[in-house]
Amino acid sequence: MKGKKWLLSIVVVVCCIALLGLSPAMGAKSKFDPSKMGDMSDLDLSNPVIPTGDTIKIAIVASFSGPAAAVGDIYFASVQSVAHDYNKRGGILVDGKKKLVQVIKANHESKVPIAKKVSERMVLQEKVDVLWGTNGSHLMKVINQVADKYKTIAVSAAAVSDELYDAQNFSRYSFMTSISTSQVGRGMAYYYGQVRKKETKFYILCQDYLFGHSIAGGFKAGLKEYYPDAELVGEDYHKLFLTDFAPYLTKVKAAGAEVVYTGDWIPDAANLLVQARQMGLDLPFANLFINNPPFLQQVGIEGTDGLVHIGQIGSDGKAFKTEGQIKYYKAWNDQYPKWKKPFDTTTYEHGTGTIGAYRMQTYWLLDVIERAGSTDPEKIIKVWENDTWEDVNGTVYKMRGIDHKTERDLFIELYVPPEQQKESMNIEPYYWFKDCSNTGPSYKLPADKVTPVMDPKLKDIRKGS
Amino acid sequence: MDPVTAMYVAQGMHGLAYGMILFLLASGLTLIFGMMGILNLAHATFFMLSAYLCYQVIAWTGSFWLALLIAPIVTGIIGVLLERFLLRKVHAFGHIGELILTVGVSLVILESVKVFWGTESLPVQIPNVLQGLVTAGGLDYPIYRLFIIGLSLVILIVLMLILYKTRLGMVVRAAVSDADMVDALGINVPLVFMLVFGVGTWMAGVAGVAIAPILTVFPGLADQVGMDAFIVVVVGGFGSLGGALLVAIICGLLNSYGVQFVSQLAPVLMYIFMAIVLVFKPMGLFGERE
Amino acid sequence: MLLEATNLNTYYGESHALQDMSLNVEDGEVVALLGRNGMGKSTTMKTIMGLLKPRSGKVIFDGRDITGQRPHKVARAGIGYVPEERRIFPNLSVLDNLMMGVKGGKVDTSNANIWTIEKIFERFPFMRDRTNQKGALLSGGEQQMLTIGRTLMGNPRLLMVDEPTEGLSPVMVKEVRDVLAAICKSGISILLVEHNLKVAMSLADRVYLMGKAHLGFTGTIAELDANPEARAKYLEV
Repeated sequence: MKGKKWLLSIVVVVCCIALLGLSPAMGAKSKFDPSKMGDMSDLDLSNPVIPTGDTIKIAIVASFSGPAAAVGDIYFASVQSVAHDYNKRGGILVDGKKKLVQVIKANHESKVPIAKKVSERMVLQEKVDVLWGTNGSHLMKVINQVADKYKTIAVSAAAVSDELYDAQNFSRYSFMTSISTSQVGRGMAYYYGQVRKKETKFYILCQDYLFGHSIAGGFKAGLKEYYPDAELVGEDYHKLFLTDFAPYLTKVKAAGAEVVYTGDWIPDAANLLVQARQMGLDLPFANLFINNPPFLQQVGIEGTDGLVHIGQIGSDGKAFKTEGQIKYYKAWNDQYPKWKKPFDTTTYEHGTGTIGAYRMQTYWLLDVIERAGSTDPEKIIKVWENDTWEDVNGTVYKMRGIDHKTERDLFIELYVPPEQQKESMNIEPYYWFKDCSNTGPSYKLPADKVTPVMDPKLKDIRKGS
Repeated sequence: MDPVTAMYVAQGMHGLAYGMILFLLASGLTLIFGMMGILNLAHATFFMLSAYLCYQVIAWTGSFWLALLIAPIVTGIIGVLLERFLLRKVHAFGHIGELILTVGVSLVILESVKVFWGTESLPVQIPNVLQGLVTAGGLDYPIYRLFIIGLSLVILIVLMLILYKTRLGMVVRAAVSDADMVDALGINVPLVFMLVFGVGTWMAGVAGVAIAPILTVFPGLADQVGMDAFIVVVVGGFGSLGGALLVAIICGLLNSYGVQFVSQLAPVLMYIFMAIVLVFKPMGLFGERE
Repeated sequence: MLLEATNLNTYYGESHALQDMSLNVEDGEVVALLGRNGMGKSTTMKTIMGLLKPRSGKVIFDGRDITGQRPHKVARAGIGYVPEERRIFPNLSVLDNLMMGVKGGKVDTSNANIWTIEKIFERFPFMRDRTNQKGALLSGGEQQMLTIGRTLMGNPRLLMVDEPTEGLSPVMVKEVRDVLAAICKSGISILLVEHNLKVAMSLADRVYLMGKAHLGFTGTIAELDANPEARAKYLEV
């Protein structure tokens, strides 16, 4: 009898240790699971099914008119596809009730006062649970201020300026799930200085506002850190929605630059590239946003060959390594042919790239809400701070508790002609786009080399929490 | 030519090319204002519409040249219809009525464009013969931009010939200074208005087609260039074609040489220029009317 | 009857500028429309010309109803208008200013009575030497001649002349008077608004005197001479 008791206690102790050891491991297993996806065969972005009533409400605060109107549609497509998935699963159990996810368009017209007004209307009138934004850091700043004032969760999925989460602007209600300008800059510098080690003459050409200066600053800091031998042969900031890039491009040419580093987004990004190629300027653009397929197709295979894109979603080498990845890809791509305006352009063909990044960030958001079991902002904050989550490609996202920025691996994608795209696109038809260059070779930049900057002052401010 | 000189020459040509586009757009705006006292806020929208029509004609026929012919004409016809059936009706309500009407028309066009073509940028290719660069004396310059300069010069010359060598041109010039008096001399001024409106929108249409391959076609096209054209009209003096030409080229050159020499100031250089001129000449460089 | 305007009522906004104004002009006649400033003389002309639309009333010219027609139609019907401010085209040359008056761009040279450039030059010799000069560079009197010449180029049957001698030197006043007399002699009727009574009386067959916005007195020159009361009421300051 005595011997058996001894054995039993050993078993109990072993079991306890095993359980203790297991539980944190299980906690880290929060991830996107393609096998749980709902039936997506009826995903129709041009005729979206949007539930109303007692729902989980996400407001996309973005441009739905004016020069950047196309951006709002891209956001909507991305977020709505995720909402559709969760709704087909039967919704999310929050506060004791299964609720569907409702996506609401909120047009800020790219104007600060309207961004404030529409965000407030979303919070006070529509009673949304999440403000999801946006194109323009100056506009995201306003959204975050509204979120802070009315204690509503905000997600910065597309505004990438680090300054939004410094000590002065930080709000504990807002989470930066996107890549940040310092990450982009450091990532590019790391790639050129530590991986590629070839070109040495760089020209910075960015848009003349908070974001443009921020992303340029990130690159300059990155060069200091990872590529001290590099030479900055020029640095210019052009006005937003510029018509004629030729004068800048003539300067770039004269400066003998080997690479142009730009944070420009559409339509500037497109006009920059198109005009550069028209002027016979064939050098590579190291970019964040020159990845919109219709633009690339306009410039053609030759003009887009050699572009260097940095992104927050992707993979090292082949894009499809698991069945789950293919299932997730096809859930979107199979439905694409039946969509109508404005979702019938090649922007929407693959659901990867920028759209893929927005989709994944939204999956993370809804997964956090599901695990919080509530739309109560305090409960969401509790789960999300220091949360780790794995996206469809196995990339781990970590929400830094102190400043709500996300640490993750980044990816460099080299654009190559269609026949070489199979290096990335390893399933039928073995190219991403047949009439422009696109991702071929791709490299992972490890998360610890490209951590976003943190404002040290936040440490003092957030001591209590 | 040494590389530095080549760079300066290239900047001058960039300025000229953009300046000529601005002139095409501003000349219609300033002529319409001079004659009819109407500030046509839909003018830049016609410019954008023509770029879309250009895209569509190319999509149907594959020919840029056909697009260059058809798109501005269709735009001009829409301009004529706007003048004949809408503007003339609200004339009795004064300039505020006309202003509001043109704003309304621009909104309708903008929304229709989105319905027909969506919000994404559409590609327009440079025709094959105009692709590539010319090399002369150490300077590489895109053929298409030379084509824009040439095309605008031809239109400018034809416009000047009509204005200064024909009776119609004489009537238009007289009507710019005193439309009622021209009418009282037995000339059908409403018909002349309609014609000028048509030609003005046609020129905006030509500018729209010319710029489409450089800029990509998207709904914000009107905002970008429209503002610059408006500055040209204000600084040149409302109603002054010569003023529009001079200021358009000055603005183009300010733009390119500004980027070259004071790039931090480049985004605001045109506004500074406008402010300086208006301080000394509130009616613009060649403006006479208030 | 060449021109017959009856019961014209014209408004500037809410202000009633013409109240039941009537007048007529016979073929070959010079009629003066007189009165103090602001009585509505110019308004009457502008209403006949179609530059202002009457709310009610009728304008019959040569048997045709031209009430409220656009100015160019009124002009083509045969009425020439020489406005008070002269309104020459300052940016056009002297020759172009004259050519602006030609209706339809062509001069009918088959008719010997018609006004041609040659005839205008005969009448106003200074213009011949200055055909290419901008209108803006002419003196006030020359501008007045130019605006009359311009209207004559349209060969009107009735000339409406508003204050032609205003601001002119005595020499020029006489010149203008002589021109108008010659025009009348050539068979063109004239409706004249003129503050210079001497000039008006020397030209006119009949007069209309206007009080505030309405017709006060009408009659021949002889009848006006015999009616000092009307003169005192409507003309003397």
